[in-house]
Amino acid sequence: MKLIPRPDAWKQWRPGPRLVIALAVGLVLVGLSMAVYNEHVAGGQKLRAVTVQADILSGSVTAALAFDDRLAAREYVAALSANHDVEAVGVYDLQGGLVAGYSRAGSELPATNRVGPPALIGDRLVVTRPVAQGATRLGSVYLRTISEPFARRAARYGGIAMLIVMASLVVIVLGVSNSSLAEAHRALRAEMEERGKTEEALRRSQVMEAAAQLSLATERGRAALRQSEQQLEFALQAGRLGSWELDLETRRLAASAFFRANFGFEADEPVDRYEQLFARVHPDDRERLQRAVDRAVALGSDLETECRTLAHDSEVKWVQIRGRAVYDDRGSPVRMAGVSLDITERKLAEERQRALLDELNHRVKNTLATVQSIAMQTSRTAETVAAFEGAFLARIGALARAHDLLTEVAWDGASLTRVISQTLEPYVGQGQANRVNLTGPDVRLGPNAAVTLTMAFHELATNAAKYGAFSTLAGQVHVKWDLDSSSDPVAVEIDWREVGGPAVTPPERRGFGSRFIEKGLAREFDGEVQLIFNPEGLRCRMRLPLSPKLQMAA
Amino acid sequence: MGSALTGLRLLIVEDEAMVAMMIEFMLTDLGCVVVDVAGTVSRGLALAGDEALALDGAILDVNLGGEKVYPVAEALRSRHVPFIFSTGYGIDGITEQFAQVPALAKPYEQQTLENMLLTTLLPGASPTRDVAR
Repeated sequence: MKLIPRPDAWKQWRPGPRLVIALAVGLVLVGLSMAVYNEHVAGGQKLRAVTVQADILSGSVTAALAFDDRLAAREYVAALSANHDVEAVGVYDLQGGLVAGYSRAGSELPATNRVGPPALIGDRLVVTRPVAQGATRLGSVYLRTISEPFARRAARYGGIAMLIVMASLVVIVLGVSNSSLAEAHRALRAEMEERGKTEEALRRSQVMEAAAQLSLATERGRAALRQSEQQLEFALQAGRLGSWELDLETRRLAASAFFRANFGFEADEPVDRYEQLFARVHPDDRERLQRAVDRAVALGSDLETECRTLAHDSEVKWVQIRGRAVYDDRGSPVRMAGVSLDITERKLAEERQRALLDELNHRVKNTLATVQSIAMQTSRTAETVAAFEGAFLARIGALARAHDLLTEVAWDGASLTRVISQTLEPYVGQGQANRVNLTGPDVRLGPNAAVTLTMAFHELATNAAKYGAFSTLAGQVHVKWDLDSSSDPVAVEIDWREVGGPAVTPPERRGFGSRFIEKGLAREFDGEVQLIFNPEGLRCRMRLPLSPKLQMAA
Repeated sequence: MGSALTGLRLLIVEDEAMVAMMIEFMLTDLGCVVVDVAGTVSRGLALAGDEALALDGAILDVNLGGEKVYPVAEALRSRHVPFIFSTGYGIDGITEQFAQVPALAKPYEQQTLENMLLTTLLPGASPTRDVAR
């Protein structure tokens, strides 16, 4: 990706510090070589100029010498003296004698002149030229000029050198700063490029990370969905829940194995129509089921209903169905889905519980009626309130003990032996276990029979305590019973016999106790009961036919 | 004690001796004649089916030691003898066939029994008039 526009190549070129220094040094060297060259060229020019002047003088004075015109010679010499560089100038005759001459103060002309090549003596340039006319030599000229002083040249060159050096320095400084600027620019550019790359890489990595996270999330979502589906399946299996889905338009049904089993379908039986399902619903429950479904679809509420289903073997099952409709964007119901559960066991348990509660209610009501009867009849026969209270509470106590016995056996088959021994127990003192003698086979009594016999033996015992065997220390009560198989119907014979008590006389009137025993007991069992007031002791003979409420123990 | 019920001959079918005696006591108190007390369905059926036994009405316990009293009720109905139920199970425990038969829920008071007998056995009479008598 292009982040920074790339500049043209030439703009990119930036001299390095080393190159700048090399340039500066080169500049100095060129300057120096130019100075040396200039010095050399200047010397030559000077020599040529002086030589020309000497030649001109030589030519000029030719006539003067030829004519020995000293005045003219002096004029030419004087003309040259105007030149500041000329230190001394002389015109000599053929013999070498000075004809005319000039010299600046402090210097002098040589006495004779000998023509020779130009000579540099110190900073003085000396040029000698012959003066000739044709082939005839007439004399010579001497010209001595002052060359520029070294110190002045040095100063000039030094100044130039200084300028060059300063220029070099400027070049160096500018170059170096430019170079460092360029370096900084390069570094900045590089950094920016680097940053651009980093940003690009970051962006790419972000995009990749986002994509990776998305894919990870999708993968996780799929995994979670799979797990959720597995858990649902497991929960459905564990809960023995059937699952179903109904297309409300086509009425196609998708049902799990448990659901099909709930409606009595075989495992391999294809079930995909609502009508198939409906046919298996108990006819009495079809309308209710359809109403519940319609209502849930119409209101968008939960479907929760129970119905009976009919299996192939016409076994009735109770099934609980729950579900909910699914709607499209326009709010039209599309399908309905839910679960089913076989609640037959629960329904049976509910029925059992209902029956138990009904039975309990029945027994409580019957017991209250019994208490009512005891209260009513005790009050009619008791002569005083205290007598009523004693008799009433004793009878309620007996009733309560009968209930205890029945509770022990879950109201199913109390033992006759236990009924008698429990009822007589309060009348048997310490060490008097032989006062009561019970002999007989095991007989099982239904709830009502157990209560009635308990009350009957209670009445016998209280009578014995008042008037009979239990009223003396020596008195004894023998209770014997057995099955009389010879009679029709087969009956249990019970014989209550008191001995050792006071002499018995028949009562003048029958109280509640004796009426209850002789009439109530006999009528309840559809049997016969007889009270015999023998002088040696009361005897009570009961003949109770076997019935569901009175049975021999297995 | 005088009452509109005086002299009426009634049958009691009740399998609990103590309760049966109370009903007998109450009926006697109301001036009725307790013809007999049956503790079992078979005994009750024998008495109800005995055309020679004159009956003005009956009080039937619904459940007799697990057996339903309905055969006795049918026998009485065929003889057009009015009867009432006496039950510890409540009204719901009575079969549809006899749903219109008045029922006393145990335990009940003598006054309740009297009123129900009056309306059932003597439909033309009113308890108020009887009391005024």
